[in-house]
Amino acid sequence: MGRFVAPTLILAGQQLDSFSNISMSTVDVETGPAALPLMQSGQLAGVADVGEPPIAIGFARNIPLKVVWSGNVTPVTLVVNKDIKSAADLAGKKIAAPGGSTGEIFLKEYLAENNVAWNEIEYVDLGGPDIVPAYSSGAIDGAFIWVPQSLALLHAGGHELTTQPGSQVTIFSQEFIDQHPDVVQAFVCDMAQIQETALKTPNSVWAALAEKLKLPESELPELMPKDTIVPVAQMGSPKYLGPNGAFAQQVVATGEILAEEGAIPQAPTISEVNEMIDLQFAEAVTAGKCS
Amino acid sequence: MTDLPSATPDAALEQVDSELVRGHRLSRKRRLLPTGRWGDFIATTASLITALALVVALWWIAAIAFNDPNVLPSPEEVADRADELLTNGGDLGLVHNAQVSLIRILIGWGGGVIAGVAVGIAMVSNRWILGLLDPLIELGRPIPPLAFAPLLVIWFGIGELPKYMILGFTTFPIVAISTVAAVKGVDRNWILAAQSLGAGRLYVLRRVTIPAALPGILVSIRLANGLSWSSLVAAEIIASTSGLGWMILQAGRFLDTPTIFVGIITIGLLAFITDRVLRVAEAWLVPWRGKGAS
Repeated sequence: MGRFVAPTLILAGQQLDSFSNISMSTVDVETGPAALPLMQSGQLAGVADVGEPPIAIGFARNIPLKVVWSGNVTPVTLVVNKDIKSAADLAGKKIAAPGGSTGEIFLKEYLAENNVAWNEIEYVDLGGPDIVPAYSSGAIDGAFIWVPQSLALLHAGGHELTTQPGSQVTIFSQEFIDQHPDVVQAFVCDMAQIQETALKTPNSVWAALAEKLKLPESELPELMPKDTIVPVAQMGSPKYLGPNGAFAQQVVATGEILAEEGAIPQAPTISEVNEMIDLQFAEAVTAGKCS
Repeated sequence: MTDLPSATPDAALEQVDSELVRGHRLSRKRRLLPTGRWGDFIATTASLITALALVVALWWIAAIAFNDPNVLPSPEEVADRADELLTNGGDLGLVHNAQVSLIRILIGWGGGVIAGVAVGIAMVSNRWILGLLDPLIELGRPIPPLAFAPLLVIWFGIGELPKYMILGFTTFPIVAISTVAAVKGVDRNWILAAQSLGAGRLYVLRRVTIPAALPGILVSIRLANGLSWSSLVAAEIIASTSGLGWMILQAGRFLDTPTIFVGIITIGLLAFITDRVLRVAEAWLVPWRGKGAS
């Protein structure tokens, strides 16, 4: 199998030797969009744990890819310092999010919903790992970011202004799916097993993950709450990857924001996003074809 | 090789002179272009146009071969995108981002040049300062300025200062080291001659040492200018929301390859233009450069 970006569940699965059907190597990328050029050039077979922006960008740039799986829905949180009590207080404040990420999109949506213009805040484009030291030193007043950085900001004295569910999906290039459907199916079967294990006996997963990440086991449930893991049987429902579902709608909304600011030429329609979601491999899991 | 059958050295030299003059006349007759500064200008321009035409032609052929604008957009697509970014680019607006980068370069590079020249002169003037700073500069010189970025964010926040400092770190060592070398290379006899005529230490520094070292220092300033532009993307990684380096990074996130090309070409053009300006300044400041001492 080709190289693969490694999200938390994959790391846990590797630690538990859950990938019994396939072998793969993994690489880290900062954000989902950063992985697209690597997929385009064929250096990556797929990317796990990505949100909506790479799907909208992939559509706009005619990169053939398919969403095949959803691992979990992670909380993406706007954590701010104590001086900021409401959205109106964000005006003139330095708020960070990784550029082009779900965090930046959610920040734009949140400001628009609360009638705060984008140019009223001082947006700071910072990568996830840089956000925590920047907040601790007082260089920024808050950030829209996912775990574990959001937890670190809360521990550093910040408080939550809003939280949005950020879908974490797995995408494969169409070329790889066409050439190696059996490998994609094997990967999905292994992921299904890891997710079911995490839902039924989370302690085993947290222990494995703690060992892999060299973290205290007590921090893991907070890092990945059990209720955010997507049950395999519900993956095709409107709550997750189903047609016209929550994920598809958020991809359209993301695409519209990116197109409006000129980052991409056009946003996908909901039917075009539906076509980019390929649930054949997830359906094979529920049909019992993994065993 | 010309034989020199003449009996005396003077006669031999006259013969060489006449050979050279004859050869020069012949070569002038054979030339298609005028000679002198006007001829140099035409030759340089023709070479530049030819090289650019060749690059664009090869680029066009490669773009047709790849047939994927995400990988390699054609020159036409890049030109169209440049036109969009010049007229209505939003956050990616070319003029705005070029202005921001130019100001960063001027401050970062300018600060590095001033510090480099001052420290370089101080190092030559005082052996204790030389002994103290030389190993530090030599140790720090190979470290990529980007490696300091996380520390600069922690120490100085996410404003403009860390960006100026990265550009300054790029500039400072090369200017400081070149200043030391240029000042040390000044002909000792000139200094002794000035001193024998009663010139004091400061007078010698101001009227002999610095003017004599200036050509070498100015070359390092020009080199540092090029290095500053090459470090721009690294500097603008730090929490930027504007500048040509940021524009390239932002375009990369959205696979906007034509904008990446526009950013790269703009950086190249601005670096070329600033170098030309520095060459003009060099010719004005050291008009004796290249004329030799007689």
